[in-house]
Amino acid sequence: MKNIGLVLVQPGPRAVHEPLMSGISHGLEETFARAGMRLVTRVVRDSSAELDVYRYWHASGAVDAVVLVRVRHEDDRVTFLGQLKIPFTAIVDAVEVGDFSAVTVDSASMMRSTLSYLASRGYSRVVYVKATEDTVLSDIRARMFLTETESSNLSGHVLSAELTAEGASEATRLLVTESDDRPDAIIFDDDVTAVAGLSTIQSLGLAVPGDVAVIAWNDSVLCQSATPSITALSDQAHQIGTLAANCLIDSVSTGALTIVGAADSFIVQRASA
Amino acid sequence: MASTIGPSSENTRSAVLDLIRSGGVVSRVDLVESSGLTAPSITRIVKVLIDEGLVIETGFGDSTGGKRRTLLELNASSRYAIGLSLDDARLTYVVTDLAGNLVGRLVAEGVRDAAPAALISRVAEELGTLLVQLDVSPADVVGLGLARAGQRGGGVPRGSLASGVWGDFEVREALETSTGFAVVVENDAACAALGEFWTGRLPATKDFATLYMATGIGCGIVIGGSVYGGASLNAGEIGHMIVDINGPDCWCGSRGCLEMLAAPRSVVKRAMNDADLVQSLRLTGTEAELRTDFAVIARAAAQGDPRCVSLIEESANYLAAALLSLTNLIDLDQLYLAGPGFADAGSIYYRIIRSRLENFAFVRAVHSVTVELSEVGLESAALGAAAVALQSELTPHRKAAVAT
Repeated sequence: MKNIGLVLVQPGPRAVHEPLMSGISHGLEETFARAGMRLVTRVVRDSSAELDVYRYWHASGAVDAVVLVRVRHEDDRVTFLGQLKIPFTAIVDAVEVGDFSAVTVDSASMMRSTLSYLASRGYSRVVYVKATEDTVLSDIRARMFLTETESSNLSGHVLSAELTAEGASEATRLLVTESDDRPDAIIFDDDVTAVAGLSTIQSLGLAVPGDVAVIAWNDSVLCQSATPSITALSDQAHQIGTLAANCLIDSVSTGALTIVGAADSFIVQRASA
Repeated sequence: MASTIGPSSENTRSAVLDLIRSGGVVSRVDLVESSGLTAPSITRIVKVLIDEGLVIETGFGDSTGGKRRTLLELNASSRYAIGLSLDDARLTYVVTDLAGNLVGRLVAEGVRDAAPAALISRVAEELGTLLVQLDVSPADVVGLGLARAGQRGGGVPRGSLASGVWGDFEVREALETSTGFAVVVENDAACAALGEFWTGRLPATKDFATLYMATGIGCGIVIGGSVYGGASLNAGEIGHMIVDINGPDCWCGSRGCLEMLAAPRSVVKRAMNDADLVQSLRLTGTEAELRTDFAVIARAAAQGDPRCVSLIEESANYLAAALLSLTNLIDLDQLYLAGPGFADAGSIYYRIIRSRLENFAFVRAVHSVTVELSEVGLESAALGAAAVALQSELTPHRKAAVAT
C-alpha cells in the first residue's frame, strides 16, 4: 500500500483551506509520508463527482486506499467503496460508527462539557448557530445540543445560518434584537462566524461576555486575536489526522476492523465566555 | 494594467489573455476598451485563443441597441500548471487549473538527505503518478514551477540540509529532462508571497511581506504588485539579518544572523540541552530528523508544555525583532507568516510577533501593522510556484513584473 486518496468536495472556488480540514490533512500527510506512503487530495465540486473519482481510482489502480471525511448517516460512499473493495478509514462522529474502520469524534461529550461550562458560569439561555450548508457535522451537533439542553436547566435554541461572516452577522442581529428572549450565550460553529457574531453584538451596543457570551466550536488565531479574545474548543484536527492515518495503516495490514476514538476537545478559556 | 498594449504579437496575445483572466467574464468590446487595441485586432487575437482552447464563449451579454455581445471567459479546465515545493520535511505538489484553482495535491516524503539524482527521479515518478491520480493529461500541463530555498548565481543556498550537494546541481535542467515539462525555478519565500495573491485575498496593488520558515528563513517582499528582486534577484534573505552582533557564527560567514537564533535548527539545539525534554519527547538531535524534532517541540508547545513554549517563544522573539526592523525600514502595514515552520505552533509565533509590532512599530501612531498566519501556510510555496508557471508560460508579458 503506497498511494492513499482523499476527496474534498468544495463547491466554492477557493474554499479548500479552512482550518479544520487543513489540520486534518496535515496530520494525515505527515503520518503517511513517514510511513513511506503518500496522500493525494482531489478537489471536486459535488458529491456525484466524488463517486466518479472513486470509480476512476478503482479502474486505474492509481490509489490503493481512501480516507473518508464528513460521513453522514447511511452514507452511500461507505457502500460504494465496499462494492469497489477499496480499503478505507472514515472520520466519523461517534453516533455514526458502523462496520468499517474509523476514527470517531464524540461531539455529544464535547457539547456536554461546553454546556456545563456555560451553566457553571451562570448562563442559562443558550443558542447554537448551525450551518445551513455542509450540514453533516453541524446537524449532529445541533441534535446533541438540543438533547443536552433538554436534560439540563438551560434553555436551548438552534438557529441556522450561512457559515460565513455575513451569515453569522445576520443571525446574531436577529438573536440579540429579539428583546423578549435574548440569549445570554451563543455557540458558533467555527472561528470566522464567532468573530463576526462578536463584532455584531458589540456594534449593537451590548457587551461580551457581560450581556452575551460567545464560544467558537473551532479554535484558531482568529479567536486568539479578537477583542475580547474568544473562548473556543481546542483544535484537535492534527491529532485526528494522525489517528486516521495510523488507523488505515493498521486496518489494512491486519485486515481487522479498527475503531479508534479521538480525544475530546477541551475548552480553551479566554475572555468571551 | 497599462491602458495600451504594444504591437509585438506574442505579448499582445498574452496581455489579452490576462485581461480575460482578470476580468472574469468579458466581451470583445470590453477588451477593445481595456486594451486600447483596435476591434479587428481583438477579434483576431480572440479567435486564436479560442482555437487554442484557452478561452470559451459563454453566452450573451445585454444588448446595447444593436447586436448582442458575445461573452468570453477563460476556459479554466483546458490547461493545468504544477507547483512543487522542495522541502527537507515534505515534498508538496499542487496541480491548479488555468484560473489558479486547486485541482489536487500530493504530499510525499521530504528531501532529507537524498542525493540530487535520486530525488529528481523520485519527483518524476511521483509527478507521473499524481497526473494519473488526478486524470490530467501531461499534454495539457503548461509547465512546472519549482519553489526551493537557495541563492541565484551559483552561491550558497539557504540553510537546507541538502545545501552541500544542491549548490552546483542544475535542478531546472534535470527536472526538464526527467519530466518533459518546462520548469521555472523560484525562491520559496517569493513563491509563498505570490501564493498569497493567488488565493485572491489581497488587492494586487497592496504592498506586503511574507516571512517563510522551513529549515531556513526567507522573506518575499511584494512592492506595487511585484516581488522585489534586488540587484541579483536575491532580495529577501531575512535569515541573514543580524539580530545579535555578538551572536554565534553563521555558516554564511557573518555572525548573529536571525537564522542561527530562530530557525528550527537553533530551537532543536537548545532543546537538546535539556535531558529530560530529550527523553520525554524522544528527540534525536540528528540532522536527518531535524524538522521532525522541531515539529515535535512545536506541537508540545501548542499543547502548553512550558519548556517547549519557552523554546518557541525565544525563536519567536528573534523573528519579531527582525520583522519589526523590516517594517520600520520600508513602512509596511501587512505581514504574513507562512511555511511549514509555522504549521504546529503558529499561534505562539503569531501572538509574540503581533504584540511586538503593536507595541513597538515606529509608525504605530500613524497606522497599524497587521500580521496574519497564512491560511495556505503549508502549501503557499507550491501554490505560488504553480502561479509562476502559469504566468511564465501563458502570460509572459507579466513575467518581468511578477515572476522575478
